[in-house]
Amino acid sequence: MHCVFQVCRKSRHMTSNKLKFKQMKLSIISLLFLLLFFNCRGQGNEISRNSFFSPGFAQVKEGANFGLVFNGPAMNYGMNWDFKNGKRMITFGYELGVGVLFSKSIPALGIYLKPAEFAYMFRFPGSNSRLFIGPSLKFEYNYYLYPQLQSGFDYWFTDFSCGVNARYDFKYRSSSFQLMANSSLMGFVSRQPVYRDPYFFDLGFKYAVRDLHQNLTFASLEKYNTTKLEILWKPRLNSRFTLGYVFNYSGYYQAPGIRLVSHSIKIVINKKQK
Amino acid sequence: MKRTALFLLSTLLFTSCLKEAELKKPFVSFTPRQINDGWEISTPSQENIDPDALAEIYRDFHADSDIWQVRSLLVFRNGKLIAESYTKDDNDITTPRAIWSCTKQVVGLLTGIAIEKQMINNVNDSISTYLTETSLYQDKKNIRIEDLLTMRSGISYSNDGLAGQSDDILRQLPDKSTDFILGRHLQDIPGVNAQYKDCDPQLVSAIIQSQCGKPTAEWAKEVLFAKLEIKNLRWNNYKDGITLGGFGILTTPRELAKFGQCVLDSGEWKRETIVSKEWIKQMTTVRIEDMYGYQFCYLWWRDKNRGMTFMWGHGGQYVCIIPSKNLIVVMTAEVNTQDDFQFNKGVFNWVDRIVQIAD
Repeated sequence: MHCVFQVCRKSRHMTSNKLKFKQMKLSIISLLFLLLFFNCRGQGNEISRNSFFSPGFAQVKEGANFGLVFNGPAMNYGMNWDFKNGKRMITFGYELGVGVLFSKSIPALGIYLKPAEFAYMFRFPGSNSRLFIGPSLKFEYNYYLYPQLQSGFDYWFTDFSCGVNARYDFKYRSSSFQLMANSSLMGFVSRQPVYRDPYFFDLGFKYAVRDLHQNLTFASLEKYNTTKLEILWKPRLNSRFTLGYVFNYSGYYQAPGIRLVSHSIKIVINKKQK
Repeated sequence: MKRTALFLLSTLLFTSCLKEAELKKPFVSFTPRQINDGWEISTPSQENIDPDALAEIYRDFHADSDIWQVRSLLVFRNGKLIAESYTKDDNDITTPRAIWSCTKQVVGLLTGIAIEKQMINNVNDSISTYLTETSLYQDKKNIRIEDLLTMRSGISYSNDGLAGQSDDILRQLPDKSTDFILGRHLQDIPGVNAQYKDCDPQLVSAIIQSQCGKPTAEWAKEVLFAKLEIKNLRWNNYKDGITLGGFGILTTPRELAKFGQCVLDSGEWKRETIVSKEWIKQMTTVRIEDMYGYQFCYLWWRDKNRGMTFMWGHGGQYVCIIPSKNLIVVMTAEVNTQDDFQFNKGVFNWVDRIVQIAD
């Protein structure tokens, strides 16, 4: 029977002025974070750098997919920099990921890009407090391709989020532990609308790129949320490897809704310490 | 304390999973709703079908998780709607959805009407008689209308995948659909080898359009859809204004069944002749013995083993006509699932079960 691989999509452009205004706001926020970043870096702080792999299990539930949940393996790679002194901590990182998911044997491809994530945290009041808490900024792109559904289609879910980041470090015997939580509070979110013209469609890489920031709008918790929880265990203080568990959740609550969940093992390679 | 907190947190996180939505509603009732769409409504008992056995079939249809794609199952007997149920959304009763290649069978009916109205002389005419574009593609002048109706044009054309030419049509890349098709090279002598493809019925639509002086879809409203009391149907034209022939119709299961009833009643709808009896016979006579394991007529399908004529659209859209039982079974499914993920495995087992309980 009729068998095509198609990507259903429709051009829905924002006015260029609105887009420019939003991009400008984002640029200003990003610049502020960069200033804070360099400010802290120049004060002789403790700097640590690491890279990590996190193989895991990911799930996606797309509003456009009849209620199917796609499950499967995913692998992420990223790097983190921490700048820390007695009063504050700044973290910076990026992450890339790919997953191959299935539902009823129907395949899907997921790509995750986080070009940058910043957090500027202050030591929580208290002389011996190990808790750091503060604002964060992250840029995330989620792309899912379903070649066997809707005659093949793909969707972007993008968020540029301001949120809160908390980190608690503690030692237990010879090991050290780190608990980290991050949740978005508000930001700009782009969720590609469902376009299901059953017959005509666009196809091609340029269309996928075009939809990266489609309908980018301001939103807060009532519209979307991204949350990350992380537990890391370093067997010895001078160990080069750290093991951990990471839970990620992303949800967009307006139609077409999307829920992304992943559970991963995090293997951190501590590259350098000053 | 810390250990307990870690344990609780880990347990909470590991058990956080997404749950699949209910893909089909549980079966409640197959009693048809009266929506005054032209269908006379009856009950299984009145039409000699065991209602309990039919309810069992419907329960299974709703419960079978292997056929998560299905959207509707409707049963018609003696020209009356006796059972219907929508597995996902009750609004499907009036919501038009893509029927993909069932469009070809509608084009088959329209061809008969065009012949009856002497817009087309007969199926042995060369396409060059009607399509002026053929003058630019002389190698195609020996293609007859019958070759198009039986998928034997010999034109090199594929429906499948990114490399297929239907993909170009669906992306509206060519400016002119007829030139695009006729411009393809001839891979077989016309009338010899059958290959299922969208370009042949597309040319039939172009031929009809060339003769009726308006888009085939508009003409079809006058000569077919209005007479069948079809109101929810939409039919797309290509960007050059030519109505799509290989696919392109959106309609409801109830309206889809009207085409089946018209064929079952030898071209009549409520005793009014819409298509000639002779054309219905000609159109449903087997021309190709093996096409995907079934038989192919003039754009219509046959299953000789079941004594069944049927419409078949991508994703799992079926109108099954069983003349020996005066029975029509309509099944529709999510459109646009691909390959093995379509509703096509064991589809006719559902029809067989209904046939078995029809006395």
